[in-house]
Amino acid sequence: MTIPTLPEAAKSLEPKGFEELVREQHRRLLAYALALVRRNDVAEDLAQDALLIAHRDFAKFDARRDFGAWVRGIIRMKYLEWTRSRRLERMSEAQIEAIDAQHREWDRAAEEGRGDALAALRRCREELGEHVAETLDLFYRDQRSCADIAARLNTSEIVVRKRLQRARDVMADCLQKRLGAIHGT
Amino acid sequence: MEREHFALDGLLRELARAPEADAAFVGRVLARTRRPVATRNALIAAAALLFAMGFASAFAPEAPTGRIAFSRQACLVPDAVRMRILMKEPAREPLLLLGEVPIDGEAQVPANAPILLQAVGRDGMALWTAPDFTRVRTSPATPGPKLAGKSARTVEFARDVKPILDQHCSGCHAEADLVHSAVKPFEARRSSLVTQTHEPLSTGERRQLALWVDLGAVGRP
Repeated sequence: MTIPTLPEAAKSLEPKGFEELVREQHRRLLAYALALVRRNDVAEDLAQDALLIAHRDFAKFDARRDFGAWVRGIIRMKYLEWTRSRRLERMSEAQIEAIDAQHREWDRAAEEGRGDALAALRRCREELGEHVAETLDLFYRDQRSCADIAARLNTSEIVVRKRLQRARDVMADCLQKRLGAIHGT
Repeated sequence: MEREHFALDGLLRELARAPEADAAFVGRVLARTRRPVATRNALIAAAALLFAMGFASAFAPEAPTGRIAFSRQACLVPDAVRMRILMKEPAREPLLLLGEVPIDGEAQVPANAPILLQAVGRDGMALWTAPDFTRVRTSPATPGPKLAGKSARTVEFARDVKPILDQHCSGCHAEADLVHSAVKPFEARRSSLVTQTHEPLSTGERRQLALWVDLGAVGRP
């Protein structure tokens, strides 16, 4: 075990700067926005707008609070504004609350040293079978529709949807196991 | 019954994104948060410089001037509306912008100093740049504006251009590549950095980029 020197220990107690927090948290914030809107361009816009607001108000931010949770709150507000201005159907309060609860759980896992959700998910992804992994890649990485994937894999759209659902179930269970916590959404 | 995985779905979407897209996102956010500070610092620096210049000029002797007119160049470049007058200072790379005067006018400029003329169109971009520097001899005062070196300005890459690139371009382009491959020094209207930006620039930002290119695009990394 290494004992940190006094300056190192003091540094670890210093509040983090805005840039450091953005570099540290941006992927989880984008994941939150993506859960709400499921479109890369809109998710980036929402997360960017939220971070600019956070930067503007950063002097008022209590460093003891959770930066990620604070910005997620702003993203949530921006998401509601976005759906309202475009008259789009939005997720229900219960669904949004379920996403928030899941992110809080992932925050806790990180704080308690049980692991980082994205890193754990990457390892879970590596354990998937070939067919499921291919379907998952076509849907998430290549952003193809289920009909397109079905045509490409010479199967039906229903099979693709079921395969995706099964893949998500497997990933959720794997994540729960790796982070050692209850994982429901 | 199917389990709902909204949060997991977002995490999977983020995991599938290219790392470069995330890096670009961070770059864009940080560029937009840094800019006001940079602008504020630049304004403070400019104010301090102006104060210092005013203080110094109160004691400096009047430099000799000469008359310059542009009738010949006006014939050569019929679309030009103004003449931009630039000056080269020894041991200083960026050209000093002394000012712009109507193409049919005249001006007083520092005598015996290397002067470069640039005919400018309505869009503020150079249509023609003189092939060489010219020097004017000392002459009596004329009715035209007096363009003195002490009130001249420069366009600096780090101060005036980089913040614009950071905000609008660095997200998708490598800055070092962009300022070499998309810039033809002294030819803003033939430089895609100015003419083919795919993210909207304000008129002021576009003019600033154009001026930097027309003044030779000095200071590129």
